[in-house]
Amino acid sequence: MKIMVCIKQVIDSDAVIAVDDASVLPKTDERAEFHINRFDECAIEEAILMKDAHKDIAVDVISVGPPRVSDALKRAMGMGCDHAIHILTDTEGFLSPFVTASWIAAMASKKKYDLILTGMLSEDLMQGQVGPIISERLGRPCAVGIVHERLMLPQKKIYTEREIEGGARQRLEIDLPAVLAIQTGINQPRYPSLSNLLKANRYKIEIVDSASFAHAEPRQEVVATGCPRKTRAGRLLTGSLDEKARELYRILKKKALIP
Amino acid sequence: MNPDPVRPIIIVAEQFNDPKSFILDELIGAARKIQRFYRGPVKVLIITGDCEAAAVKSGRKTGMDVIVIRVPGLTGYNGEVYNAVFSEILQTMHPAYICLPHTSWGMELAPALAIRLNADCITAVVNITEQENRLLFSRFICNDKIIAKMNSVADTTVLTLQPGAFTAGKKDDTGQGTIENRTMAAGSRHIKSMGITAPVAQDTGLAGARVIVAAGNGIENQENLALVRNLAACFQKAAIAGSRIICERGWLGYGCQVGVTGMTVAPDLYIACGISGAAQHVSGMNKSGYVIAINKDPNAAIFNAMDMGIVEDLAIFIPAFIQVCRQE
Repeated sequence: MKIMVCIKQVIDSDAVIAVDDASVLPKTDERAEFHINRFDECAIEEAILMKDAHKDIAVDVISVGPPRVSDALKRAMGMGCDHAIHILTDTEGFLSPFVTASWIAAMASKKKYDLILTGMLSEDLMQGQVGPIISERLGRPCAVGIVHERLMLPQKKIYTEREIEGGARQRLEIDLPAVLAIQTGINQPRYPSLSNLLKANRYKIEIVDSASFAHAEPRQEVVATGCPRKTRAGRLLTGSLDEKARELYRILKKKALIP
Repeated sequence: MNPDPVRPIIIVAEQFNDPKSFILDELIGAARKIQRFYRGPVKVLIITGDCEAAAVKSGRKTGMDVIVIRVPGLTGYNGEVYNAVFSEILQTMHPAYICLPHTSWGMELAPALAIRLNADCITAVVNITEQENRLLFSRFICNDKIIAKMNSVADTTVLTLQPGAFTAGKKDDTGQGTIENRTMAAGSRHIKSMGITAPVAQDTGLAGARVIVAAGNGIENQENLALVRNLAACFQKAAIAGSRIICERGWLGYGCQVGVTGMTVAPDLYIACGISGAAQHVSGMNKSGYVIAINKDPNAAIFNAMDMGIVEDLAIFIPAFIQVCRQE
């Protein structure tokens, strides 16, 4: 059985330091560090858990992006993925989910996977579209928000539970091949093992130039970025630690919120 | 690209026996906001199962032109069925904009529906504005710290609207739209629904609490939960809660989770300790009377959703505050 896990490398949250009305994307610290999108990390872990539990499962990890993305792919291999594919672009800017998903789907249709896992959404653009778009491009079923799965290999199906409002779960049996968009909480991603990381560093990642795919015309663009509007008073206390603690007590006492 | 103004704005909704239709009101609010800048007519599609009465009732209450689509045997959301039914009808209507709710089903369906319609898709929209003759859709990015304004360059755009971001506005009493009933047979080939599991009820005291002290990823380790408990002990009728990450780690039970996939609470006072302020959490507590945020990250999204904020390490501030309480 072949599984493909789609991952995105995202910038560390505390590196997003300013929003400049003139620029389209937020300013980031030059020393910014990146990590694997945590939803995608859960997807990798779930694939490796399937590999641990069943015989003959191979896991490919794929990512779209500039050269630095190879670090994320190596870490994924450190967690236990067997093969890594890098769809190389030269852009550091906004890449629409339609374009990303179209390239991944083109790659996947060549390789014939039984199961494709993605994270439910990315921490940066947060659209949650890549999984459903891949499934539509491949003409296969998709379920989003997966918090539990169990392979039903003889029936060529997978049992899944997707999380819906209020913490309820919708239970589904889905024919393979299928696309699942994974929600956090399904597992606790493992740290890569040292031996796997050493192997990953020597591994020859399959690099595919994004220009080799049929052109996918972007359907959307980011026009501007800015600070969110405050939905409440948003007053920040000032002064020393002790002054703030006393001021907070005084305010709560005045509002009769503290005895 | 400006669509031809006769092309409609279509609202896509579902209605089974559950009588709540507040989402439909919000979708209409969003559609009306689009209409300020793009003057196409609004129509409503409501998918339902064998018992159409609830859907027809909700449709009538909107006062708009509604098509109620009955799918025999349908008991709830199924992605394959919804995509087949809606894409078939929408293809005949040539919409400019299609509005879905950003609920668990809306966020799953919208991108796939857009591909089928050769449309763009923009999700989790919180505001709609206009600039230089084009519609801009605002949405959160970067862990909800930043707002991005996006533009669609496709002929048709599928949107998902964040619950709570749009209000219905005044009811337009001058019109009573038409209700059209259609029946469409549709089955799912590859996805079989095995039912819904309700969450296990846990008595965590959150429902009756006047004060809730919530722990987020900023507490950094499980031992620091003691700080949160000690802070709660300074108040009367207080309970503790957690963000999704805290509950996923098992530091608190899932019954303590506040947010879209957990509980919605509205205490008199909500103290968010080390909580980043992700929209999915905030939506579960934003009806609280007074919100206090304690977080050492001055850029945390929570500072846009609070009444009073303290930029401090909670491990240092909370003990200092408890000390002040004890002295008084």
